[in-house]
Order: sequence, then structure tokens, then C-alpha cells
Amino acid sequence: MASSESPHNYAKQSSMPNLVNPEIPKKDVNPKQILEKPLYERAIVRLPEWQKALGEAIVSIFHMDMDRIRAGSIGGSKYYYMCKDQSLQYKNEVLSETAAFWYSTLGLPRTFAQWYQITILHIWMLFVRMRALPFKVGKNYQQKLVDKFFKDIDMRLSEEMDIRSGTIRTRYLKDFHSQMIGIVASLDEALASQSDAVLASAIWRNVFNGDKNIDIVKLEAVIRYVRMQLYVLDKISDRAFGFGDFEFVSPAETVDPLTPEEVQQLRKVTKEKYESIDGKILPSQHSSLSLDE
Amino acid sequence: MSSNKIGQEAKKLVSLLEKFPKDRIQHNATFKTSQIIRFCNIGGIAVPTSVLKEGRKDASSTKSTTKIDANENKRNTFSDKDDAYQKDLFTIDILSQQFKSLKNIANSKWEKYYQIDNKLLEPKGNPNYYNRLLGDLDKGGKQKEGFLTAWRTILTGKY
Repeated sequence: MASSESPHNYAKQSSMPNLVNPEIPKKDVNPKQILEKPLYERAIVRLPEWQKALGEAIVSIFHMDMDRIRAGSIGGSKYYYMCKDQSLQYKNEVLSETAAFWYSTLGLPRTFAQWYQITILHIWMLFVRMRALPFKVGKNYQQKLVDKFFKDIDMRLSEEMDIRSGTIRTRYLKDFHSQMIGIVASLDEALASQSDAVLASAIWRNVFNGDKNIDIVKLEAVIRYVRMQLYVLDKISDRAFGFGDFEFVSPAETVDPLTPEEVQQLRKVTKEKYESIDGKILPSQHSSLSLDE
Repeated sequence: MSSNKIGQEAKKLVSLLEKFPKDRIQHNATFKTSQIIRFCNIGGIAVPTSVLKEGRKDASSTKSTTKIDANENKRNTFSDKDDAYQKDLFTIDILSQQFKSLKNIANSKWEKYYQIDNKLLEPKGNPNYYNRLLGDLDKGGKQKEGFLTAWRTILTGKY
């Protein structure tokens, strides 16, 4: 549902032109070779029936903890790809719908560091939700997500940015890591302060690179975008989130706050989806995650 | 006449920015200070002395961390100090639009519109997480936390 009130359109309404920040180097991502997407990221993979049955049997016989296994496939894979794809772009390539919001409309520089900043913003939003899962499960999801993120940065630096020296890559990775700690802390501070002003300073410092000539309308659009995502994450149940049923709302769309009846309806639909009427579910669908919260 | 109006509009922005909360810990750049200086420049208003002092601190701390860049050096040597602030393109329309947005931010409009409940603010996996973070930040990150609580975090991973 595209709406005239979406963050993207909101940012477009600003009459201030995009100014180039003279302090930011103009280095577009110009890859030597573009990493190919793995098969399971490109399309929905359907396993043959016999493989499914074998899998279910193994899970059942060894009493495997599916919440633990799901942390890798959902937290580490699906959720990471979602964050990464928001702003991934290469030189002379047409921007995706979400990337157009960040680079064309907001006028952010098309660099690797900028991609990192936007990705970590999305990862942080998932962190906020993962903290609200039971401790053991949530921590595992977070760990898998961060592991995948840094593995992917390492790959991109070596293959796409063509940094062959392992020492230099490690130095960059350490730098990215300390940036991550700072960004997560300042965004957490903003969330805990329950104030848009604190969130604005954190986003200005990180996503907008401390641009002195910032367009405040665009800053507000990003704040609105973040708050909108957090709202959806708040309303989704642990079970649905843990099973990977969450998608980021596109910047070109908008969300209206739910009425109490709609919240009830959402809960009902989730229960119907994850609980069968006769109480029997496949071994791989077992989970300790709550359906209500 | 129009420059006078621009001055008034910029003054409104500056007085709103002055009400913004101060950063809990010191950063290389501060949104509040940098924007106050910017809009003072646009409106031709004198920058408040307290802000000016802070701004100087800002500038010296960023300079020590940035690499030497020939273009940057040229800019610093041959131009005014406030060169990085764009002034000419601002019209009343643009400024009032900026003011509207800044006001929404100051009033936490979107935080109130998309209100989240305690599920995220007191997460059941880490109920003390945000309290502890704010507690540390309020001390300016200077005071270290207790020996026992630190060890509890190391051993259990819990906050």
C-alpha cells in the first residue's frame, strides 16, 4: 500500500535541495566482481518430500532444540539478507526501491561506509526485538546475526572492494566493530530516553555523517521510518518473529497504528497459523516462543 | 525586509534548538551545537557564547582525528571558518519547513504516534538492559560499575 504520507514522500516534500557534504569523499562502490547471491537467497527453495521427512525424523529422534537451529537460518540468514538488501548498490546500477530512498531522496553518499551505516541501523532495530525474546533464544539470534554480518563484510571487502591484504581487512573489521558498539549504544540510549530529539542526534551523527547542512525534513523522515518499524516489531509476537515472519516496511509505505480489535485479530491469526486444531505439529515446528507476546 | 524575516525565522529555530537535551556523553560532533551555529549564521544572529565555546571544543576534537587532506587544507586556509555552512539558498519557505520538522522532533511526534509498550522497553530477556545503560550514561560514562555486577554479566551474559 503506497501512501502519500510515507516517509519517502515526506522527505520528497522538502524544498531544500540536496547539498553535497564536502567532508565526505566521493567513492562509489565500484566492485571488481559482484558477489553472487547464494541459491537460498535468490528464490524460495523447495526440498523434495523425502528430504523433509528425513529431516523431521532426525529432529524427532535426537530431540533437537529447534529454536537454537532456527537462530542460524532465520536470525543469521533471512534477517541479515533483509538488512543488507535495504541499501545495497553498485556504481552505474539502477537503485532498488529502498536504496532510492536513502541515496536519491536523502542524498546520502553512495559509499561502502554509508551502506554499513544503513545496514547497522536495520540490524539495531532487529536487536531491539531480539532482546525481548527469552534470554537464551534472543542472545543466540543476535549472535548469529552479528556473525553473519561481519563474515559478509569481510567477503565484500576482499572480493568486491578488492582489499587483498588480510591485515588491512582485519583492521577495517575492528574499526567497523567499534563503530557498531557506538551506534548500538547511542540508538539504545535514544530508545530508552523515549525522545525523538535524542534519536535525531544519534541518526544525524551516524547515518547522516554529522552533516552540518542537514535537511531537517529528511532527518524527520528517517525518524518516522525507524519509529514505524519499531511499532511493527512491537506488535509482532515472539513466535512469528522467531519463525521469520517479519519484513521491514518499505519507506514508500506507511503503517497506521492498530486499534485494540485489530491487535486481537492479529493474535488470533498468529495462533491459527502456528497451532493446529488437533494439537499435532511437525517436530521441526516445535518452539518455546510465546504466541501472545 | 526579507532578510529581516529570515532572521526572525532563524531565531525561532535557534531558540527551539536551545531546548534540545544535552548529550549524555561527549561526542566529536553535536547536533544541537552545530545546528545552532548554522542557523545563527543564516539569520545573521550572534552565536550564544556558551555554544561558541562548545563548538570550538568540537572543532578541535574532530581535527585531531581526521586525516590530512589537501583540499581540506586549502579550504581552511583560503576561506572563512564557517565556510561549510551554506547560507544563500535559504528562503522563508525552506526555513519554515525546517522549523515545522524540528518542532515535530522536539515534541517527539513520531514517538507518540507509534507508541510501543513495555514489551520492548523492558525486554523479558534483559529486563535491566536499558536502565543500566542509562545509569552508566548519566554518569557520563566516567564512573565504572561495581565489581560484582560486572562479574555477573561476564559469567551469565545477563544485564
